[in-house]
Amino acid sequence: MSLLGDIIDRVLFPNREIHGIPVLDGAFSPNQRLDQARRLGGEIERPDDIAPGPDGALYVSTGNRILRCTGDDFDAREVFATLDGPVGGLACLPDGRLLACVSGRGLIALSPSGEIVGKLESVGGGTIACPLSVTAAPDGAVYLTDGSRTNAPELWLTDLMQNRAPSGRLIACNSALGGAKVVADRLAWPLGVAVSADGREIWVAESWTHRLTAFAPDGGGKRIIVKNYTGYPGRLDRSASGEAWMAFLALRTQLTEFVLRERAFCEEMMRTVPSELWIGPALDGRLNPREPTQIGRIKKLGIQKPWAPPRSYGLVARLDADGEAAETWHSRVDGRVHGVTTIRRIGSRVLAVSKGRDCLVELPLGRGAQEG
Amino acid sequence: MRKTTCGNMLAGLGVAAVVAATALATMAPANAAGPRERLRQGFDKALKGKTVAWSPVWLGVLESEWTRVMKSRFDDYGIKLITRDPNMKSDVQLQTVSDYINEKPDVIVVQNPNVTLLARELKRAMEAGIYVVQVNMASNTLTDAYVGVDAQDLGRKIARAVINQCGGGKGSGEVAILEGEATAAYSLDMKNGAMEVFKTDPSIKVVSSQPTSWDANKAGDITTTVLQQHPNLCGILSVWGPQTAGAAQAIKAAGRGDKVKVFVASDGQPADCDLLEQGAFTANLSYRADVQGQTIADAVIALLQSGDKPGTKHIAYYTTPAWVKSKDDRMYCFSVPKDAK
Amino acid sequence: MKSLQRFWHRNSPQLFLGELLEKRWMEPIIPFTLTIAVFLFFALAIPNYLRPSSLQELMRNFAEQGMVAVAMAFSILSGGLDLSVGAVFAMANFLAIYLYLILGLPLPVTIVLVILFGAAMGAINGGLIAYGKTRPFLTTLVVLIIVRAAYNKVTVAYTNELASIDLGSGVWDFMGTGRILGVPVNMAALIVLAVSTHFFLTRVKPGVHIMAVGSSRKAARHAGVNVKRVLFSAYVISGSIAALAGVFYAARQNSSGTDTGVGWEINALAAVVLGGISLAGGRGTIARAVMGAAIIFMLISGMVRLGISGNLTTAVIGIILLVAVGFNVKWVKNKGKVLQKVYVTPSWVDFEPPPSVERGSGTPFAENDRLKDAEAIALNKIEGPEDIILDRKDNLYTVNRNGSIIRFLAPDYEVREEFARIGGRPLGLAFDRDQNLLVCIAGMGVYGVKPDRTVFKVTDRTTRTRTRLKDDSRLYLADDLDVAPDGKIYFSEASTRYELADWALDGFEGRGNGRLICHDPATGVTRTVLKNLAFPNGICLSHDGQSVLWASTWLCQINRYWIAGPKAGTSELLIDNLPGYCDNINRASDGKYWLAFVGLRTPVYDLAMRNPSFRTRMVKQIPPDEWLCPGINFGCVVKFDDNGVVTESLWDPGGLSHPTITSIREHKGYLYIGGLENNRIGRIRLADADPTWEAHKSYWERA
Repeated sequence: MSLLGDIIDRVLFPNREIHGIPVLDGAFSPNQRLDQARRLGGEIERPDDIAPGPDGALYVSTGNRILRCTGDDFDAREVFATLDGPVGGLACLPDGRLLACVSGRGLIALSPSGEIVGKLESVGGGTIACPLSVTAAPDGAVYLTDGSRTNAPELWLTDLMQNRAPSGRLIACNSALGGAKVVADRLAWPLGVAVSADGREIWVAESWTHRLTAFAPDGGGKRIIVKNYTGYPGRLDRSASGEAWMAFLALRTQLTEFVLRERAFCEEMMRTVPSELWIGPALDGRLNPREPTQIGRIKKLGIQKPWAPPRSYGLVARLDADGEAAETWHSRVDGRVHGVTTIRRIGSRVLAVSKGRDCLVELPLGRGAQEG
Repeated sequence: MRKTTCGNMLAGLGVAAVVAATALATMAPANAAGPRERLRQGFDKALKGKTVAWSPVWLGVLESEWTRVMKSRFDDYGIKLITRDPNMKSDVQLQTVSDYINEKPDVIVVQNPNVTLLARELKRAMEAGIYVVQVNMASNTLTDAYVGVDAQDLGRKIARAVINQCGGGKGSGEVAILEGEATAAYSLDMKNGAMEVFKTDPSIKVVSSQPTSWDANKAGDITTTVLQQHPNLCGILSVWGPQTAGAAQAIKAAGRGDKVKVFVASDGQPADCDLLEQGAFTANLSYRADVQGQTIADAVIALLQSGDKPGTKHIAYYTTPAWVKSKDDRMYCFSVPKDAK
Repeated sequence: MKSLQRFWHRNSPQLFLGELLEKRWMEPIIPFTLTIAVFLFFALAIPNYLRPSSLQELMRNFAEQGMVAVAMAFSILSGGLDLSVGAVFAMANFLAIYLYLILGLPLPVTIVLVILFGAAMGAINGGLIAYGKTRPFLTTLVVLIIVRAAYNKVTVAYTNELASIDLGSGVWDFMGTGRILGVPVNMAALIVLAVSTHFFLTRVKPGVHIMAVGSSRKAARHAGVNVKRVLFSAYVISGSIAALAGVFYAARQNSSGTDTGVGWEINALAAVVLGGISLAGGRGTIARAVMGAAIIFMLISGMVRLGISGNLTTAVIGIILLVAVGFNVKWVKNKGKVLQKVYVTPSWVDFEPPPSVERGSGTPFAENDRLKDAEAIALNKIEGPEDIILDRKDNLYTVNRNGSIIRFLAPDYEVREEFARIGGRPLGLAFDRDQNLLVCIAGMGVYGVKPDRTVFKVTDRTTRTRTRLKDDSRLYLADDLDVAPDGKIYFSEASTRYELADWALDGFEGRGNGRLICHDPATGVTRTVLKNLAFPNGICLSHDGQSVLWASTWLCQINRYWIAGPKAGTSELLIDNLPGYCDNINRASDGKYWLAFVGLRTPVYDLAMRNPSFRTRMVKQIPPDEWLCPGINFGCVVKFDDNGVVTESLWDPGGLSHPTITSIREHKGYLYIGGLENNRIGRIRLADADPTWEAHKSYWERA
């Protein structure tokens, strides 16, 4: 039956869009440059986002806490604030306030001393229970993304596997966290958000639909920049020069896409199997003997093939001003820097956090580091 | 063979006797049938439920007209008509006739693609107790009835018309003959009839005589070549209308429309009269297919009522042609009724 | 309901279909089915179609077309094409009539002359193509045009003679209308022709050479075939057969019309392609050409008999041929793919949740670090030591994936030597009483190596299952073996449906595709003991020698098959629902048994095993590298006793050194570890084991 449907589709809609998984080539050609990234400081437990403060410190969200890291390699770390829910996206405002996304709570503003000085908990009467990322525009506006109406940020995998109609939002408010309004709705886990240098466009990366979209600040002018990534896009960062950076949570696999189509199986799996053993993307890629295995991942003569179907993967990309990937850094299946949730340019350096492998790394820049 | 036929006939008689007795018994109370009713009863008894198998060369305009007329008549009498179209493939037609013989209809009506192909099968059909009617194109085997033109006579008549216009100094005397299928009786006999007349007139020179396979394109090609080789060509004698359309086209293309005269034998297809009226044909010796269709039906009816053993008599029903030379002679072409299709 | 579904999945008709498609005689299935289907269709649609007289007519009218198709097949099988067959046929038809009926030559002379004419035309074709190196298409097209033109000329020239011929003599008429045993003469001739040409092309050297040249001209030349002469002969044969068809046609029709033979080359070509003969040459049979011709013939004659108008018939035949040829070409090309998609037929396997393997869970299976520091022997000197065994001098034997048996010499196992090279993929090992090394070899069977290194075959076939389409008498995937006290060799054949490389597909099926087989060296008889086993893998004789323990990998079970004692001949389940996929079993020094887990069960895979259709779709929709499979990156070793109680387990957490453990062997206080995909053999010291214990004593030196 599916074959027949396929044939009919092919005949009737020869130009229909096939949202298959693109091959990693062109700017996305695999390399090992992310594995060459330098670790900064010690282990940080499941870091989620980083934000540079105006004072030169780096704020890192981990669990319910926000760390303040100083020093050349940000290895002097202290707890800046402890909140009552897992902390996700961070952003510093020019006046020194730190904005933090707190699961189940919404957006919270912290003073430089770590006190809560502002909150945005709802928009248009509905709560913001799944705040993912936040960013400040040059004109003072604050843009916040809400991942889904049904799941908290920690349940990102559940949200993916449930495969519901997208319910994420892009929310704008002023710097006092007032005047909140929904700019765009029905987004599929908009983990990445960045404002262009001139403030005219907001770029949103939707993880579950694997695309990058631009919106005007009033919600109009929707423009799809990249419609199909090989991976699940994560956070976005945009610097004044116009270039942007994008992290990818993991790569899509044929098996995952297949299971997403197999609704009955997928639902039963979610009901009966612990989530860390599901078929689906993972951040950590650490071995669990009871996790699902794929044929290509069977070790041969003691070697894990780097091109095996990835359960977890490390991938970050530098995008040009048009949003096209210009350069990418990979940590392949046998690599060590997997599950990167955030990448940010800080001065001349580019830092990323590997949530999967509990570390903060600095990317090797320049051609010299590239492998053939 | 003979013995079984006799046996069959005896059995047939037996059955007939029983049927007759039953009929008499049932009709006894209303025993008021006059001679005219008895005539009709006899007619119905001979015809009702009989099967006629019809094997044309293909189902062109001519054959379709025959089929249409036959069918309307046979339907009226309660005769079943089977038609199979081999589409000008002689091997398929042979097979069709063989199949017919196996299926044992009462009458086979056949249009022979050539004089030899079906000769053996037609003989076999009659031996198997089937009446055989040949239509317009006969074979080397004589059968119970022949319905159609006397092709040889047709040839002679047209040849005389040609001589009238091209012979004796009135024209160059150069004449080309467009045959149909060379070994088809209609074409072969007509050509022979024409040649017979042409030979009597020394002013006539037959420069070409080629078969066209009933095909207008092929006739056009042949005509083009003939016109090139014989610039003084005076007349073309063509055995059949539709193929001649191609020849007329070729003449027109060569710009010789006023010089070359086209004489054609026609089954009276509307298109033939149209072409004549447009000046493409000079004269058209026409017999009407619809009339022939009626005659075929008549022949079949006569055979079925005759009680003769198939193959004992050979009756000919020749069609009388008439000249079509202008619009006024339109009645010699038939017209297909609107609701026939 | 559930059991019904389970039954359905176990005995799915797809299983039959898959094995059917695998058969070589399935290649012409499309033309064959089509022939039958067309015949049946007309038999139903046309009254009296099946009457003998009707069938005779069909055969009589078909024979010449069949012959012309055979003629065409010859040229195409030789790698060329002969478009002139239709024209040669027509000309031969005329010649036969002319020579016999008009000139009055004797019939045999006529036939010989006409066939000589055909051969001559073939010689022109063949000469130009073989020796002049012209292209077959153009060459035969030119010959077609010339012969056709000549035919048109002569039939016009002899119109009156052709029109006035009388019906021929008895023999001539017999050829045209006679019957032999109820079969029309020309059909009988076609049958004789088809059988003899088939025999010629498959059994007689010059014929086989035609096929060889057709498949690969280069290879044929290299094999010493005179390519030019072979090509020439193919066209001569083609022309002669076309001419022969003309003779029969003449005898039947007694006429030579302008349409005779027109388009027959196209029909013949269509017949050949429809029959599935490759236009590239070398592949196909005469029977297929005849089948193709029969389909076309039946369609045309059937539609005429149905009273369908001629133009429509032509159009419909054209469309049917186009579709059929297109489909057939696709079929020939994609049969392998279809087979692949249809072949895998998953069954329904219900698992209970297994005992926990979590560290600290308190079960005997709980993860620990006992293999973490295993010493690596032969690191990177061995590829895939599926099984290992030690001899009485402590030398270590193992199998290599290139088909050889490798020996590492005691005491330090640094010296590596190839003990024997057999080929295939050697798997399980065992020593018999005479210290012959017996080895199961995937794809070959069971072989042995004597201490002096000579290799001998033990067995490579067993009894065939009569009810099965697939010939399973050959050993497909012999996996592991052991020797009973009476010298009988018990071995497992893991699957009769898949090769070793496709083990995962067998796993997806989870069906009893494997067997337990016994070979008796005393009598040389091999017989299947148990069948329909789900991937029987490890085999081990119990310590008392009364039973054979065998492991079912996919069902995660250990079973016991009694070979002696009161329960001899019966089978029982010893351990069920193990948390890992069982591989080899071997004796331990303490009277228990070591069992290798090639991988661990994962909840998701267990779930998938309950969903046969999910697995079917997975195999069809995503590439093999992406298939979900048993978690064989993480193995461990467990020990169980004769009561089926698991007492302990040994782990290499994360599978760093020993990801896939397929074998373990205890020897003199050490435990040796092998893996199907590993690059080393591991060894650990067993603290509480008998340091003098060796398997050979345990097997052969007991009272």
